[in-house]
Amino acid sequence: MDRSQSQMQILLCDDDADDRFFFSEAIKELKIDNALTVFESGLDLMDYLKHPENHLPHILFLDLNMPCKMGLECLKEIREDAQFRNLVIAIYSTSATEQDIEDTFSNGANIYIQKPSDFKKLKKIMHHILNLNWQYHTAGLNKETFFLNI
Amino acid sequence: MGFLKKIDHIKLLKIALGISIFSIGYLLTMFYFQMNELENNKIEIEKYSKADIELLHFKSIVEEDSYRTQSQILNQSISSNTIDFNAISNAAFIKNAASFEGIEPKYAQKQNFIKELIADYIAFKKELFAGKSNSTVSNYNTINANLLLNINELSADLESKINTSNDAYLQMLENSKTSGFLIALISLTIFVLAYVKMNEDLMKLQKINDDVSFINQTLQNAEMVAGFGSWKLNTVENRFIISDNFYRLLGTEPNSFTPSLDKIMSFVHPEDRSRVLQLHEDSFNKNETTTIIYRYLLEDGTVRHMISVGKFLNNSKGELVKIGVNQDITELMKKTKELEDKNQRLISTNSELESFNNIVSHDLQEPLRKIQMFISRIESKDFVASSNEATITYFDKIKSAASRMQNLMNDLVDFTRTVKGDRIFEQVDLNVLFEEITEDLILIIEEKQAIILIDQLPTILGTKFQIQQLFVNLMSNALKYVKLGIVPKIIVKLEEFSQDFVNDKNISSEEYYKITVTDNGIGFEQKHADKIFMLFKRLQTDQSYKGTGLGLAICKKIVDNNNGFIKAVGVPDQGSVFTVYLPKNINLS
Repeated sequence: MDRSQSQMQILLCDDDADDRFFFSEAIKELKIDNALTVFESGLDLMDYLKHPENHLPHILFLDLNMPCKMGLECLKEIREDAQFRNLVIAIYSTSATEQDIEDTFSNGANIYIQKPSDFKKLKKIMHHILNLNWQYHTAGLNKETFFLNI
Repeated sequence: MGFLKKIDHIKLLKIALGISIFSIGYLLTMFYFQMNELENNKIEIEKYSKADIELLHFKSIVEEDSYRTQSQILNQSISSNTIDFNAISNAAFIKNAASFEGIEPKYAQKQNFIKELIADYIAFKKELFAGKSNSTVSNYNTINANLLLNINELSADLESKINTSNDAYLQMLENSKTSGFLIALISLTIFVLAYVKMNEDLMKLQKINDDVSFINQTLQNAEMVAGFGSWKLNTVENRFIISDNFYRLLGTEPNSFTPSLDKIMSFVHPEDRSRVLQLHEDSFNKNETTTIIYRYLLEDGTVRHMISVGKFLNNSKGELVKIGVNQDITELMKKTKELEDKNQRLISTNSELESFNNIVSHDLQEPLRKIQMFISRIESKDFVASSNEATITYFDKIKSAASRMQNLMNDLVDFTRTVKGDRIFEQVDLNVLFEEITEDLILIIEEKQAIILIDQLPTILGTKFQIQQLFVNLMSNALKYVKLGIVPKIIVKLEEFSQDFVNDKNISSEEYYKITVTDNGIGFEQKHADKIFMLFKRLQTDQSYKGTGLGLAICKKIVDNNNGFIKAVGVPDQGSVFTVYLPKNINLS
């Protein structure tokens, strides 16, 4: 995989078609130079990541509640692979239970986003995430900063 | 014996007995020696008496002889025929000196001297017979007088000796009488002491007997009340003894059968019998304490659950005895079973609640969120410009309904979460907590330009997310229930107090922090003060105040979970004061 392009490589893995639609709409309206690749299941995502021809992504938005392969499993599997050590993984889930936050935090996710119920808010979140200084964020990461509060 | 009783009289009795027995032993020994001496003394007196009698007898022979001789001398008719030499020389005193044997030497010497004088006497007499002359007569008279003097002297000596011995004998007799009296007296004392001791022992034994029968009676009553029975198995005599209540546990009358292992085993539930018998037999291998839980199947068909604890002991004869207690635990088993069932139901209810919680928090929120997302999409696409007034009104109503539903679901999730109560107590600095809360609520605070005054607050022990939820709810209520056009003013204070009375309970400042949240909102009628903490009880029917009826119920739940108290005081159109008491020390739970 190569990451030479200036384009931001964004991956989204979500089984919900509406959410995928809102997500791509929001990104489109943000007018950021990006390449969004969308997966409907964890299995598809893992297939893609294992393929050496594909671009190395900058950031992955990962839903947790998905059939077949749950988000948490994908997260664990990705983090086991050394080449994805610096891949930013943002959890993107409807739920925000203590358990989910705890599990994803301890398994190496970078940030936890609870899906908003307002499109403007979604855009705000996307804007924040895509302009975040990840090195700075990851250095000061703790459970308080892990859960995104906008 | 009054004074003895005050001291340890049994000990005193023992000491007295010991001294008496020792004295009587000493006296008896003394008495024995005294008797021996008395005996010796008696023999000696007899001996001296005998010697004296012989001497006196001899004296009378000599006197008779000298008398005759004197009269012959006077009558001038001396003839050898009239002189009886034989009588003198054959006298026991001369011939048989046995009576003088063992007599003190000084007497024997005198005896010998007398014997010598006798020889002289006979010689002079012969001389006298040979031819009477004045000198011979005079010589004879001299020796005669000398002989008699010596005999008298010896006799006097002997008598004096006898008298001395006799006095000694009498003295000794007196002493032995005293000893005998003392022996009799001390023996009597021993008898009396032994009697008293025996009496004491008997009384003690009687008291012990009374105690034992009392304890027995108590045990029997206790067995009846507590539903247990006791048993004893003498392993040497193979004898089984069971208590009255054991018979009753078996559903029979006391003493209605002769207990034996087989007989008792016949009451054990057939399914348990071999196991119980095995355990019983195994217990003899190591003489270990056994605890067996099993069932009895009584004649009328009822099943009783028993716990039997058996233990090995040695009795006073050194025989191995197995004793045990059986307790009827049928009720306990029933209750435990009920409790287990209830627990099981509770667990399943809880897990249902959990899945309900999951449905609310995820599956139900999902479509609602979509609705809200689409609403926000429509809004942003020049919707207002292209629609008529009625549509816009309807659309706003859809929006507010969706938002109400979302609030309700969020509150429901929060409520079930507080019910579930994963209570991890930690140090919570309320100052930091309130900074976070005001940050969370900054939008509405800024919107209403609310004035928030927060006192210096303590650090408490509690479940952080719950404590946060509690004060978020109280603060947002204070911000929410305010008349239009009035600037909300909220004061959070740590109150000083000594003792308060809440929910029929005295609350002291030593154990609790008292924190008040005071607002200038719409308040409420004080008569409704208790209702506001109930689930889905809303005092406000005015739709302009959005509420789910869950917020204060959650607060109440959280305060309960943290072992605290909450109360509310309201004045309509003036404001309300919510008081929260939180424990200073976690031990209160």
